[in-house]
Amino acid sequence: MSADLMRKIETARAQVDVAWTDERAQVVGRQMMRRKRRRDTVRGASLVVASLVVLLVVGFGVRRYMLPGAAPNVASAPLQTDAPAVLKLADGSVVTPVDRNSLVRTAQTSATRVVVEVVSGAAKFDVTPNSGRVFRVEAGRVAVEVLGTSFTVERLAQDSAKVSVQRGRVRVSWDDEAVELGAGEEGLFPRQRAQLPATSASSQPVESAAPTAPPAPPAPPAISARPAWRALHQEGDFDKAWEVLQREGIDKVRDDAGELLAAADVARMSKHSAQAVGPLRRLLASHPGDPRAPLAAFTLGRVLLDELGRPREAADAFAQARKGAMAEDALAREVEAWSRAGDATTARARAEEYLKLYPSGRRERSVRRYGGLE
Amino acid sequence: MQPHRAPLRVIAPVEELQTQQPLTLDHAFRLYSRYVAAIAKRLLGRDDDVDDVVQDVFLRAHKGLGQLRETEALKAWLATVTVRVARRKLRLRKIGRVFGLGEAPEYEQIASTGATAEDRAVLARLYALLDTMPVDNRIAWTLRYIEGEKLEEVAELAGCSLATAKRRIAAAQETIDGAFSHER
Repeated sequence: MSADLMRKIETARAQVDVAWTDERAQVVGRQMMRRKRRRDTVRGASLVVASLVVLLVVGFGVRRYMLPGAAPNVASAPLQTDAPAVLKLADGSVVTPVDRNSLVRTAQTSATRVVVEVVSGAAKFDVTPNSGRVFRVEAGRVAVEVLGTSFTVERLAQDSAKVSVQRGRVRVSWDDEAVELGAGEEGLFPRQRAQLPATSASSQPVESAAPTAPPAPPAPPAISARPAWRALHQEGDFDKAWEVLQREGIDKVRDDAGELLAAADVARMSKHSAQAVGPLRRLLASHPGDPRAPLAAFTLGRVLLDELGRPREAADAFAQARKGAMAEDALAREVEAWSRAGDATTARARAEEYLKLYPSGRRERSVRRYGGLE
Repeated sequence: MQPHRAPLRVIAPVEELQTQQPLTLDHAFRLYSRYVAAIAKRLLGRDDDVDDVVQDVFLRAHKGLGQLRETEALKAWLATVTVRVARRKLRLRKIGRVFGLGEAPEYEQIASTGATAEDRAVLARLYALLDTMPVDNRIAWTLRYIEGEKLEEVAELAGCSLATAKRRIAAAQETIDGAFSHER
């Protein structure tokens, strides 16, 4: 594999992530438990039938054995449990999950080091001051180290985390960056490099800090450098991001390709597809040479064709997307769009073009179908 | 290319350490559903199959939960079951396509929302290529280069010898190299 290809794949693969929210886990978990109950019921019923057959064959009194003992075993632990118990550690520190969807676990406990992982949701930490012991909380790529303080760590999508400090000081680290937060401060991490306050990055190991050090000059809030909806977008909370974006005005989004693409994502993912059209069109008009322009055009085509039923406009959008890695898919979708628009002649012409460019293309079947070449 | 994901350190939750109780299905699900979903997404390349796979994995796995007392062992076992379930799904998908039951999916949405356009394009192209390969080759390559597993772990997860795993990865790599060099 060439170094260039290695680099591309190396960079890109980190972006394959699943949007596994607590809500989605709950839904899937409930479905799974229903399936399990059905399966148990079937198995139980099968057991009953088998038992009856055996009993009949050996000539025992059947009725006696059919009643309670033969009932199918449908008992199973419910997915939803009671609110999680407060976790009290041996040194007196207390970890309180904020709701029953929040899950924390200790990864290490010793006299000199305690490591707690926030697996999902958020938890509040009241840490007993102890200068001889490091108390570390891990949430995805973000780690928080403290001596004596009270703070909350919320694990967010894509290995990020929100940290709020109620008392004392904490050191938040991710990758090779670190920053200190004092009482009353909060932030989303990992931060963009440009957002790091230069004075707050600490090279001092936490072990050497005073247990209740006075708060440092307040660092600039991590969220304020970007619009609030962008932070929510990054967290994957598209519904809330849409509420904020709508309040601020989607037409007021900064004229930046990344920002416009993100605004379109928020609209689409919060089920306001029609409002995604504006930012995508703005991106194509203002930044036609941007490397993200073909992606924006393809997305616009999909929205117009699949969700808004505007095939002629979709065909134009797909035509603009015929650059780079998505060229083949874009041409295939263009054929489909012309066909749905009722323009059989153009659909056929585009289909022939596709077959010429991609003689054994992945979308040959649908292209032939929509192009009338079957 | 070196594996990029450091193995997640997993130690039993406090209550388990204290009581050493076997895990229940719902507890295992709460601990590891995200982990299983992430592997499934990377192996399948599609989000719409992930929920099914996660359910299948835990339903298959739950029988053995009572015998496991170490969460590390459970995690490794769940990964193996996930690979098996994903392999079955990929084979069904391939068969379905042969009989015209499914169109090749579009992979431009596989990347997370923060991904750059180039990353999205690379991933879309990569997963489209993976669709053209034999399922075993695809799984071995994905485990090695997308999941970031060591060769020995790839062999274990894929249920084959080390030599076979290497052969499958090399075959997949050849296809990918050919396609990408052709595009340059």
